[in-house]
Amino acid sequence: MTATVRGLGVVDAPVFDPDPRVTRLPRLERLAVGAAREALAGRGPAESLGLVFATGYGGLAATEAFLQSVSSRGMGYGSATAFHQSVHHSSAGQLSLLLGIRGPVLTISQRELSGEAALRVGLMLLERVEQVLVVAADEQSSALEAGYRAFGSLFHAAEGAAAVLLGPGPGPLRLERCELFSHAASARRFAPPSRFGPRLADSLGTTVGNRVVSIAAPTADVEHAERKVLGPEERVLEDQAGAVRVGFHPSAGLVRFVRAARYLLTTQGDLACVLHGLALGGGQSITVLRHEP
Amino acid sequence: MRGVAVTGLGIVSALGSGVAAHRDAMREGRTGLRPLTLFSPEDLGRLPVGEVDAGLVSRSRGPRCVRLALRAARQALGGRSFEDPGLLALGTTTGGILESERHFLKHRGGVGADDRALLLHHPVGTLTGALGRALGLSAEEYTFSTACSSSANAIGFGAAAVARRGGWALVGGVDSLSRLTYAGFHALKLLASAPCRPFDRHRRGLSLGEGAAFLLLESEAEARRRGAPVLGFIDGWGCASDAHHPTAPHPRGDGAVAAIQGALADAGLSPTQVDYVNAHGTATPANDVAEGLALERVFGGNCPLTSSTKGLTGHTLGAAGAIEAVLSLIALSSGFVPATTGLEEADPAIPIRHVPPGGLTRPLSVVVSNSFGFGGNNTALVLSRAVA
Amino acid sequence: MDVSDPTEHSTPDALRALRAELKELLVTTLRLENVKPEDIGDTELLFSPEARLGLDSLSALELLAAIEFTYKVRFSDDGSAREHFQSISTLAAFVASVRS
Repeated sequence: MTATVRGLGVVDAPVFDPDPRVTRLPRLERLAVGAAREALAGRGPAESLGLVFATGYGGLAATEAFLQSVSSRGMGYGSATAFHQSVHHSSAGQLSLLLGIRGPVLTISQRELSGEAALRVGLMLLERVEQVLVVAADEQSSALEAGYRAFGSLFHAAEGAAAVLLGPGPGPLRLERCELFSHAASARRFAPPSRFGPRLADSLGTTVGNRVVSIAAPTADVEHAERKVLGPEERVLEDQAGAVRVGFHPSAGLVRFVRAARYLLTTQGDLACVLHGLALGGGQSITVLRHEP
Repeated sequence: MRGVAVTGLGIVSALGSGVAAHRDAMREGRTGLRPLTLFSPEDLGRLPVGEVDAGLVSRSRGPRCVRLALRAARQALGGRSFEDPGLLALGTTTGGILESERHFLKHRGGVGADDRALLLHHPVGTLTGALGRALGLSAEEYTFSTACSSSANAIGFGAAAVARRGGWALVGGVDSLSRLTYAGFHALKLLASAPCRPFDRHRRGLSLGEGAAFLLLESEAEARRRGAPVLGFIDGWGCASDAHHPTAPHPRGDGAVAAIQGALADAGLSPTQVDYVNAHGTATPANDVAEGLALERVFGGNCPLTSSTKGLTGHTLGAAGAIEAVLSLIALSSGFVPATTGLEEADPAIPIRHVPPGGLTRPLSVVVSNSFGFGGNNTALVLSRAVA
Repeated sequence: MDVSDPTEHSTPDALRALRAELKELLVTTLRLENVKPEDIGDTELLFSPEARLGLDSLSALELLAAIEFTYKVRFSDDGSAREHFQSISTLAAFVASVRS
C-alpha cells in the first residue's frame, strides 16, 4: 500500500492558537493540534477525512494528576477532568471536534513505534476514506524521563508532535513503504543488532535509486550498531548539513518522518529516505519516503 | 468484506472461561455482577462489578491484563502455529494500569526506586508485545486504544487486513478492573450503585467489568483448505466520529448512525437483513437514549431484536468490543438471542425492540454489534453465521 | 460557638463568608487564570452557554468533588445537584443547609 503525502506538520512545543477552546486543552492535545493544523493547511474541503492519532504514553500527566487526586483526597473525590484527559482517545476526540473530522477516528499506542503503526493503519484506512490525517504526540514528564534514563543512556528524551496528511493522486512526495516487524526482546530492551540488522540491510537492498537513511539511534550503542549495518558509504540523514537531530520519545518516529520529508522537498532530483524505527520490546519499522519532483 | 472467517474463539469474563460457559450463562441470563473484591475501594464502597473469578486468573507473574489476555488468546489459537508472520491487533483502554497505579500509589507520586516498573506496564503497547512473545507469534503488532470501542476497532482492522491480503490475524481485547477506572467513572458520576439496568426507565449508570476475548481470523479459502472449523464471519466494520462534544454523545446519534450504516455497506447488506443487534447499552442515561435514536434512524420502523449483554459481564471497556463480538458469534451459532439482563421496566423514550425476558431461540444469520466510545468514537461490526 | 446550633451556618455573615470561600475554591479548583474570586457575582450564572465563565460539564463535576471533599457534604445522584450549581449563591445555600 502506498500513498501521496499531501500535508506535513511538526511542533516541539505548544504553539499559540487563537481558538480559546485550544488554549484550555492540556499540553499533549495542544501539541497535537499544532501539528495537525499545519498539516491540514491548504487542504481542499469536502473530501472525506479520517484520523489516526498515535501516542506512546497518552496523557501521562493527566493519569498522574488523577492518581494524585485520589491518593490525597480519597477514591470518592477523583478529578473528573484529569480522568477524562487520561483516556488515550480523548486527544483524538478533541482533534476530531476541533477539526470537524467525522470519518473514522482511531488511536494507536505502540510504544516507540506508535507513529509508524499509525501510518500503516492510515494506509489501510485509505481504502475507506479519501484522506487520512496521521498525528503522533507525546508529552515529556519527569516520570517518563526518569524511566527512560533507567533503561540506558538515551539521547535526551523530549516531547513533540508530528502530523502527516495522506491521500490519493499524484504528488512529489510518496510514502512508498511502511512495514512493522517484531523480534523477541525483553520489554526493557531494543531488538539486538543480530535481529534488526538483516531487516535493515534487506530494506536498503530493495530501495532503488539515490537514497539517504534516517537512523533510530535511541542510544549510542544502538546507533553504533545501525551505522555498522549501513556501512561507511551510506548517506545518513542525521549527518547532512542542516538536518535536525530529533530527541528520543515515543512519537519521535513520525517527527523524523516529517523532518525527512521536508529535507527531501529541498532536494532537486529523485531521492528516497529509508527511515529505521526501533521500540523497546523488540519492535522494528522500515519506512520509505520518495521524492520525485 | 468477504470471506473473513473466524477459526478460533476465546473468552474470559465474570461469566467464566470459554465459549461453553458463556453460552450457558447467556441462556440462563445469569448475571456475573457481584460486589468488588479485587482491591479496596475505600470510601467508595464495593459496588457491583463483573470481576473475573480469582481461580481463572493464573498465578503466574505479570500484569493481570496479560494473564487475562493469554487465557483467552490461547483458547482462540487452539494450539495452532503459523509458518508465515501475521497480524496481532489488540484493544485496551488501560493495559497494565493495575500494576502501574499500584506502583504510583505506593510512591505517592514521588519518583520511585524502580521507575522502569511504572513505564513497563503503563504504555498499553507493552501488553501486545508481551502477548506476542508469550504466544511465540511473529506478527505486526497494533494496539488500539479508542476507549470503549478499542477491541471492536482491533477486530475490524484485523478483518480488513485479512480481506485484503489473506494470512491470519489474532484480534481481540482486554481490560482489567482498576482503581483508576473505578474512581474515574465515579468522578464522572457514571457508576451505578446497583447492578446496571440497560435501557431501563430507572437506569442510573454503568457497572464496570473486566475480561478478555480473542478471535482468530483467516481467509475462508485458507480455512477450508486446512479443514479448519469456521465459526462465523466478520463481514463489516464501520467507524465514525460524532465531532460533537468532548464528553457527551451526539444527541441524535449522528456518529453512531454513520458507523452502523458504514458497517452494513462494508458488508454489502441492507438493514432489513439484520436479525439481532447487540447494543452498546451501558445503562448510562445519555448513551441508551442516543443509541435508541440512532437505531431508529438506521432501521426505520423495523428495528431488529436488540439487547445489551452488559448486565451479564459489566462494561468491560476496551475488551467490550471483543467480548460482545464473541457473544454475538455464540448467539449466531447456537440460534439464541439473549435478553437484556438488568432490564425490568423499559424506558418508553427509547425506541428499541427488546428481546423478551428469558431470551428467544431462533435461527440467526446476521448480527450487528455496537461499541460507542468516549470522545465520540462509534464503531459497529457486522458478523454472520458460518453456513456448514 | 456551640457546634450543634443548626442556624450557625446560615447567618448572613456565615453565608457571606461561605460564598467568598466557594469563589476561591472555584477559581483554584478549575485553575481559572484570568479570574479573580472577588469578581464573580453572587448570583452570576456559572454554567449556562452564555455564561461569562464558560464552564462545562467536566468543570461542574470537578467543582462538585472539590465541594464534597472540602465541606464533607454529598450531592445526591438523582440529578437534583444541577439546580444547586446555578450560582455561588445557590451553592452556598445548599452547603449551609446540609452542614447544619
